[in-house]
Amino acid sequence: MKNQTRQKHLSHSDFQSLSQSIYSELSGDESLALTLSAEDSKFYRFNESRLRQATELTQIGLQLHLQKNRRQIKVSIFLGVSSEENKEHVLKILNQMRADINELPEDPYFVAHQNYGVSSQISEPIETSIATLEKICTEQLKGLDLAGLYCEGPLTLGMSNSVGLDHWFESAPFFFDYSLFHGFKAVKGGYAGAEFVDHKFSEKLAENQIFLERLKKPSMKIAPGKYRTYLAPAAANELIGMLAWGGFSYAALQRGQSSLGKIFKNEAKLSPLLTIEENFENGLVPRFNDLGELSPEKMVLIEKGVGVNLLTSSRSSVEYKVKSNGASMSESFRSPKVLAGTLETKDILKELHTGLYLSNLHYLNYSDMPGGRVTGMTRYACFWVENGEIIAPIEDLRFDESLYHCLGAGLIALTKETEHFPETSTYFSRRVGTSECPGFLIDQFTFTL
Amino acid sequence: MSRQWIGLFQELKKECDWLSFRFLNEDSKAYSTRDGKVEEARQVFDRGVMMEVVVDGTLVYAATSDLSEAGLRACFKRGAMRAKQLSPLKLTHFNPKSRGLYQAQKANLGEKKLEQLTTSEIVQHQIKVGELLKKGPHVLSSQLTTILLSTETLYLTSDGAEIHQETAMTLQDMRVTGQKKATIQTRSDHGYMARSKQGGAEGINTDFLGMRADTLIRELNEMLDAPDCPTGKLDLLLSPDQMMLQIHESIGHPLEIDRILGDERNYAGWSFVKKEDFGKLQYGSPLMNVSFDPDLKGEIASYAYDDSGTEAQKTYLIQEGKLLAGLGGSESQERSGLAGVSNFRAQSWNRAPIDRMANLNLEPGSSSLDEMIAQTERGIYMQTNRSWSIDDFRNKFQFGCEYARLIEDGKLTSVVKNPNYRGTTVAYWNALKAVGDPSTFEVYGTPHCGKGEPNQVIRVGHASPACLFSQIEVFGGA
Repeated sequence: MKNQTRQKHLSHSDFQSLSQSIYSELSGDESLALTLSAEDSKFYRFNESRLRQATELTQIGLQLHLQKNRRQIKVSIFLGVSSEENKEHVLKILNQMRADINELPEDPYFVAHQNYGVSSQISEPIETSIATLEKICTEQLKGLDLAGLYCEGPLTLGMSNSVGLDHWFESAPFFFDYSLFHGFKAVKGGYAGAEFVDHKFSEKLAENQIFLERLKKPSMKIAPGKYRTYLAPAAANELIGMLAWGGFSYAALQRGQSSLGKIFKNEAKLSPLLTIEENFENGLVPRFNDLGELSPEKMVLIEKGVGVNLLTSSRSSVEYKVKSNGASMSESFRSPKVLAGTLETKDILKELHTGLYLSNLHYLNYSDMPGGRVTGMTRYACFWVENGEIIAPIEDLRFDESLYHCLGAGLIALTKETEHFPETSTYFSRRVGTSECPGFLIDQFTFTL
Repeated sequence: MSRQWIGLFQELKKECDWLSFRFLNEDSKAYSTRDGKVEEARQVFDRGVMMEVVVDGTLVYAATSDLSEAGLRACFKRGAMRAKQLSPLKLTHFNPKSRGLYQAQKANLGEKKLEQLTTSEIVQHQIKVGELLKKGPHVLSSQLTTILLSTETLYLTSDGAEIHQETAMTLQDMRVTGQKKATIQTRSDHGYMARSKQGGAEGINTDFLGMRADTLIRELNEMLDAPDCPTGKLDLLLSPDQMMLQIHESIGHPLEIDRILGDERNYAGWSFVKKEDFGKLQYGSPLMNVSFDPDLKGEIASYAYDDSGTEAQKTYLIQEGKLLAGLGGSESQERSGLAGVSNFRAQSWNRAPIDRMANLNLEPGSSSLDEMIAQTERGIYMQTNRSWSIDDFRNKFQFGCEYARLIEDGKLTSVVKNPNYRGTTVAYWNALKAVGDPSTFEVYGTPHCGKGEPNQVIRVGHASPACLFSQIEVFGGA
């Protein structure tokens, strides 16, 4: 049973009224942008298939970005729902900012607020009833050992500025990010979307349990070495996720902090099988960035192994005198998509033949960022495969491999089917985001411990 | 702070079985400069309340940024309703004895108020140091950041606890990246935000930053000319700014009792440590003594009471290498039956507390740095963390450092670049062969320890002497 739930935080018209009342107080040499980030969230944390901690949260965050005489300062505050109290609070903060901004020097790479237009995208929130959650715990999880987080509730991102920009994004996604355990072994599961449908969750659990059964065999200890390796889409997505960390940033490349420096300096190429895009076509992520600029619906970053575009913010555009392309200030991707290959799902084990099947990776980090080398661990359902058949689960292995190899000459095939991964990060606030990735078949992948 | 709501608290506590309010005010001011120019000035004024609402033995956390009377009443109502609804699903029954009963007022605001440092003073100094760093012959970019932070909490419970705590903190970071031919290296001031301290404006020593800038440039130039770190087994001497990470990842996280109980299995992971290991497991060599110390002067995660209102006291977790106690607050102690500490901590008003590290330190030994170098025939001295990765049970780790020098026949010799090492936790700590004396003991911290569902980052402190480990696998870069 589903209930439509009304948002408890600010509506678009509340935000527009607040914005206009503040902008009317600005002097001629001041410009202000307001960014709203609000959520009414349920966070239900599970252990042993029971509720370990439940949090109900109403959080209304507002960032003020004041510009004056090529100087700028940002202040984040938290609000209530009363229009009058909010206005009074915001004006008080604005006055403090007016004092601080005069103490700052001119910003040499200043980008003035502009009117990048108006946009609005609203999805109706649908609440999962507590009865549904109770049914999950008492019926669907019976006999299973589950740990994880169920999260849902309305989520709003709004942005306006004193020169006319007005963006609004309202959504109410849910996700259930979980692990199912057999002793110390586990499979990773996830179910996300706009509406929780019982039978779809049951299907996900049934799929997970097939892998869980396979984990009941004794684990094999695999010696460090180089192995033919299949990274399932979740594992491949973790590897691609590392490229958010400077990989496609124009500024990072200039400052010696890019892991794909050789690609974008045309000193190396990745596999011709690999195409990576920043892609907002699915509508799950707002196209407006932290300045309010609208990113293109699709931009190719790597095309058939060749670096074609870097994410370039307006600030980098001023500093390095290049054209910007709607990237956020951090120049990290927000909606990456790796295009599918040709490897059919039914042929994965046959093509792997003998080697490692890895469902997930864990705790990746650069062991040499300028050198493009990444280390990390195997996690969850990982198996040794011989002659196209799963033989046994493995004890966890550490890998340490160059991106130039595993996404370059070592990349043998990408799967025809891709998977979508919703953003499950909840640091400070819930994020919106998504990524799409196929599985990777890689030759000579290096394991070290 | 928020004392005007004590009357409302007294009223609402009668409408449920048990109630707490935890108000938080946190102000931070952060200033970043890059290449001697201003990059960003950002301030956060964080305000909100977390309620613990108990109905029929079911605890629900309810939080709001709406600090009006209507906002607080709505938050309470939502928490109470949800506690009734969720009761059949709960894992544990709430026990009010897991919350402290203290009435206390504690403040550590340092010797000099944070307000005495002006925006202009901080930014202009960073620009000056940035200009110095730019003069390095191979410098590509440099960055400095200063954060001033003040926190105030008020914790009220149905049983009469009323704890008011205030702290001030300063955090600083300085780093420089250079390139010579194809080699790119970065040298920082003891690692990302490692100069995280509790106290007032006295923590920002502007002259000292200028002196460190010279050292960073000199060491960066050495790194740019250096060969790669050799591959093989060597004795490994670690400086305190790398010991910080080693302690954090391979002692702190595996000893968190909520991890041992499985709460973190879907995110941060489980632990190789089992309940039956306490009092038995020889975690490291007899030279290893590890303490939870919430009262070390200047260490960033010092506090008198945790977020369950229980009193924090120095406790040895490991003595002479043997595992004695875990990092678990009163709730985890009750669930596990294990000895723990007061470390039930939340990132902010909008998150429920969980078991966190606070100040976790390795106690000094008796060897001077010179003695440890002199006793090493073939070894390497690594400084300052730059890369970290460990498995979900906290066994197999690989860590990388910024700067290293070889030790040959008891003497420090050539600089090598891209130094990394790997090992497994218990074997590694049992290879500890010398612990530095108090002259090598240094205090660092980080504001960015991530854990929990929903996710939380928290500030932790780590103090350690330099330490020598026997025959560790080391290797270089790409």
